[in-house]
Amino acid sequence: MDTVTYPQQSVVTFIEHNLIPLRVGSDTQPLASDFAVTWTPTLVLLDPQGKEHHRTVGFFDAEALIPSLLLGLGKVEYDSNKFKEALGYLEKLLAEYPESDSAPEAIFLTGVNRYKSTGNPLPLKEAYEQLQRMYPASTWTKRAYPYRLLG
Amino acid sequence: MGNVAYAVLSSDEQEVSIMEKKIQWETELVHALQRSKVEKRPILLDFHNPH
Repeated sequence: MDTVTYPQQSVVTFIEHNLIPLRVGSDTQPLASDFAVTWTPTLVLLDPQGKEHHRTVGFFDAEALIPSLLLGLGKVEYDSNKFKEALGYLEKLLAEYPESDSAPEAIFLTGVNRYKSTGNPLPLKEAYEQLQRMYPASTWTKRAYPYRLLG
Repeated sequence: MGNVAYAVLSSDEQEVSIMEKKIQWETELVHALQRSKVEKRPILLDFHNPH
């Protein structure tokens, strides 16, 4: 990450504009134990209260890291019932990084967001149909499988 | 100059060097939490290999 990903100016700009970057060694206590860190790199997104909302383990290049962070930012907002703000991050992810590994989960979470913000179950079915069409082998397509019966 | 090695950057290289930015990492959770509350941005906590 230090030699490949973090020096990328797109990554620097994204992190500086959207996040507070905090870096510690994996042997830093009590943080490593508090967050049950067993491998590096482990990236965790926290809200201002220190609550975890998103986690990844392992290397990411710039093209994978930014969509992963967008997904995490969406989760932070979604977990706070800020559905409009969450959708903003998820839609940006899907528009700019549709080929990323984070995209299928973003579609799943978009459907859930829209359902929870409106009470209309149709977005869940639409999310499944989009996943089936674009990412048929994704685990998120399998998880959305029951939604095909809605509406 | 003896054995001192040095390099002279071209004007283009100097411009790139000046323009490139690095991530300004916090190193203490308490400071990151304070900034997160004030600046209303979540925290990216990176556990890296220190060795």
